[in-house]
Amino acid sequence: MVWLAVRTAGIFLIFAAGSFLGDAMEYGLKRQWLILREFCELLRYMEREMVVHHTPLDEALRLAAGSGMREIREVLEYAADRVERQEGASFQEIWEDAVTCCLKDGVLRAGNREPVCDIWTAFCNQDTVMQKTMLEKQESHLAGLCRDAEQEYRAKAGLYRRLGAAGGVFLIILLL
Amino acid sequence: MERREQYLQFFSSHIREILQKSGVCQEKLQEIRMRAERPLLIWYEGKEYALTEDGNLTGEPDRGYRVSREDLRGTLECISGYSLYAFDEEMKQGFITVSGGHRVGLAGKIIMEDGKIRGIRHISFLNIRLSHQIRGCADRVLPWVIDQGEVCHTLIVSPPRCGKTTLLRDLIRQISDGSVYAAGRTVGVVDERSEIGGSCLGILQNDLGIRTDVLDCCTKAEGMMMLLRSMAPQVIAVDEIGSERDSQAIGSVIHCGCRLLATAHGNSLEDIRRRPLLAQLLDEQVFERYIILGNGIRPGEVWSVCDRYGEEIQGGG
Repeated sequence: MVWLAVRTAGIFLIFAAGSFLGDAMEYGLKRQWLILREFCELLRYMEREMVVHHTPLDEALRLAAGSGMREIREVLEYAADRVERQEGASFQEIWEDAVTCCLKDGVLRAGNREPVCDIWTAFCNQDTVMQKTMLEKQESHLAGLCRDAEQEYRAKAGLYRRLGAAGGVFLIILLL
Repeated sequence: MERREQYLQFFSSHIREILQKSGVCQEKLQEIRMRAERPLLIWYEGKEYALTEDGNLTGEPDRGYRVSREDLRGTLECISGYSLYAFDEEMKQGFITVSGGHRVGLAGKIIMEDGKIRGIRHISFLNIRLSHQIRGCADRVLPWVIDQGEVCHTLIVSPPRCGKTTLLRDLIRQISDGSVYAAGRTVGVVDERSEIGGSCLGILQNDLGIRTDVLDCCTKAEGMMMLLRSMAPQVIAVDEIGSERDSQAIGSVIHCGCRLLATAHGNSLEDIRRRPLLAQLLDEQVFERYIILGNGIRPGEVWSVCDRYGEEIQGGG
């Protein structure tokens, strides 16, 4: 009986681990999509604040940080703090540091990290005539990446869940 | 940051280092000029110097540190708080005013649209003029500007960088707050280039007195009429008069019973007489007092105070 209980528990754990792995991979895809979507919304929000209201950048970043995902909030608050301190660093440096420090490895894939780092050109551009155009261009680029991430998530999420569960079952059969 | 180092926050880190090494103090620093691929120049204690990379002041521009495009870009970011877009309207006039009332002149490629300036691109030249509010610098001339309890129509004549705006600012403050010579007056200021009040994003950076209203970034002629119509000023102050429209508006101000404080570029009353529009004002004896400034020993040195006839009533010193 004891041996049966142990085997049942083991089977359950292996199945749970497999499913968990599948869920984790699905979550990774979903988070990728959601973060990119948040950055798109951020750009739309910043366009209103900067182009329409002419809100100073540190204030606009803090207002944008008011809601949204924790990772994005951290990036925006980090950048706003450094802008306010006026240390003399360029905004490109400040923004790239914010993304590097607050978006840990794995949160964003390498292919998506670079366009997020490039957002600085839309927020702090010496060519104010082109500011609105840069914001729209960055938003359009990120929107494209967001759509790709969403499609990948919808296509692969179910597959990963099933693979995870199947992997667990396969391992159980192997061990049995 | 100490008061003497507050101006450093406007510069990129490399230029900041050079200025820190130089040890120049803000009170005596008038201008810093940055031009792409040209030496870094400053006006300090009334003289021009180049700054070397080690922070030494030199009279030889060739030895000065060459300002790079990165330095200019970083300085623009710092000056504007990384928010150059927020200064869009001011940039169209060729300058921005930053916290502290300091004015930054910009030059680069002008973008025109339908005959109007739409913006500036490729900004390669910066002129950072540090504002110095010197409370009490008008003490010496105030007894002559106020006669029997009434403010006289006064014109301050001075070459560039000789402190006429600084003097005007303190005159406005003392007339607004009141002094032993007269009770406080309501003063309206037309601050066309944000130099007098130093408004930065709508907030006055300089103390202009408790009874002062300011029209910021408004042309002088329109501003004077607006103040007359809506703010009931007893005194109107404007900087650098010289156009025909200014003259016409001045006529309206005088005939409405307002007192006028104004400034004009020039070395002497003779210089003013050579300018047709100002000569007309002199001939009509519109102004009751002329204050002539120079730059002999130091900026803001009062050379003479003259009456409406141009006769000296107070010598320099």
